Amino acid sequence: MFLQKLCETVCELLLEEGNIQPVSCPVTVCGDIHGQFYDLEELFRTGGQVPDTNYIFMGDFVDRGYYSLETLTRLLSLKAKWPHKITLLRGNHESRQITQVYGFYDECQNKYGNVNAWKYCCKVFDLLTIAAIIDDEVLCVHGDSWSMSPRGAGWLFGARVTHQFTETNNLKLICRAHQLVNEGIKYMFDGKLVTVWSAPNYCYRAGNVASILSFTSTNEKHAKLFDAVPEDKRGKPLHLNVQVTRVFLDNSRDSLLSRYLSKA
Amino acid sequence: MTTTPRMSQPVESRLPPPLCEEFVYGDWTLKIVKSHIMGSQCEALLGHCTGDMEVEKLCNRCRYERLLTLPSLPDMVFADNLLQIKHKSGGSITFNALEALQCVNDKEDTLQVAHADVWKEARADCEFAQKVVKPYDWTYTTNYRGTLSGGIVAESTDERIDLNKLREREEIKFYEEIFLYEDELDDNGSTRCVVKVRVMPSGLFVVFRHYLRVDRVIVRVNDTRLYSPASVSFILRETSTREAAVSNLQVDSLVYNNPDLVWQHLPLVKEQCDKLVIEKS
Repeated sequence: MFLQKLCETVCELLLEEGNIQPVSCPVTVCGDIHGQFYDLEELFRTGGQVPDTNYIFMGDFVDRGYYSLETLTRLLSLKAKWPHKITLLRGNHESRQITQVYGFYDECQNKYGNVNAWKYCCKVFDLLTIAAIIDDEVLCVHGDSWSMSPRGAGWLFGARVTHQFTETNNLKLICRAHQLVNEGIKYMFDGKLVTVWSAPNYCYRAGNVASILSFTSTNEKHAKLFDAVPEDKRGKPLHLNVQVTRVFLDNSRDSLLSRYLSKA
Repeated sequence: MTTTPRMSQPVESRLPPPLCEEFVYGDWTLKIVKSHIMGSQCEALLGHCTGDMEVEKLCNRCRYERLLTLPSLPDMVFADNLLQIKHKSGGSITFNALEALQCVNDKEDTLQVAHADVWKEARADCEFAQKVVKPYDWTYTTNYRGTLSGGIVAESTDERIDLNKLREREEIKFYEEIFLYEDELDDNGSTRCVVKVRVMPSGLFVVFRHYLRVDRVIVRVNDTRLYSPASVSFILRETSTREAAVSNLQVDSLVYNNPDLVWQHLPLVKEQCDKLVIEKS
């Protein structure tokens, strides 16, 4: 099976990489993609194709969008062919537990008819690098937090700890993803931290722009913005192609929408 | 505000303009605005909003920061979106994100995620793990019932919305779904606030719904339904809270992940009904 072979090839490559993978400029840093395959192609049109442009993707390739498999397969194929031109980091969605809730597992089941595809992909997730460091000065990581979250588990980013961390480790900047930003990119804490968000019109309704951050050197960088590919230029999964009557559900017997959705 | 580098390229010009629609139904006019999510920093087109500016002159971001005391906002706030139902005499009811968020508890959190205990125990030696910074209702649960304005008043009533009548198949003259806010609770579930309206020959019907799912913990739906039969100058309003612990819910994940399906499986916890009446001038 092609996907199995692809995953095995990438696993072997990833075994050679460290947990913090060193990368050199020039390189373009990208945030969450979340299965938005058509917009990933737009990202490559904006930033340049591999291998002409080097990339770091900061995780969250799957879940939520309709084309997680295509998105992941595309990125893994690029990694297999040009391993030194693309770095793939692990996001919190590259995990067995989360993908079972937020769409990737179901998509694999629907498209392959069994869970093997998902299992092979999870083996790749296990080996993905946690962070990348650009010329010893810019740290890239998917991006969680520091200070206790009120949810009971997890931390929140804070200015003080960001400054301390960058000083202690002689870093110019921390790049992270993970958090939706309407403008596609957001600097915080006196420019020590940047959030890069690469999924335009997130979940097909937020209406946001996306960005990628292109480093010529660790001192010179600029954001490239891009929009979602228009409706008429993107595919739609089969189950959304049936016409949905404009009746919203508010009754117990007449689950029209669920009936339409169950038509393959 | 912290000084952060401004974007050299203004983003506003790239975003499509809001969709604004009006629909007239008898003596009522429906007004809908649908746009993109709010920016993460001051959105003033020229310069920057300042502390002494009047609220109406502030950009969305700054207005929200001025009027809300929540330490953080949902990931997606559709600040421009609204649904307004206005009578020709001037009385109206409006649904918008700002006023829905003003009803969120900004002092206490009452829920923890499923893995909270395990997480804390694994960090029992870490002093920082024991103290929460600024508790608030991070689920953004709201008991908002709409904003009344002009000559419209809420009166008590025994009249109930006839849901059977609403199940009848009828021509749909107008339909819209308007997002107000949404957050993924850091991949621990979902909180969503949406308002939907449909107009049929026999009447108009609105569902304002706040849906919360904390994975493996709870599902809660707060609904406010409005119904105005054709040719009357009142609106029946019913607000309900339904919730259940996930461990008590015997339904498929396809159901409890869908606000429009799961509410029927949740026990009713609270209900409040009234009648919105246009004042005779």
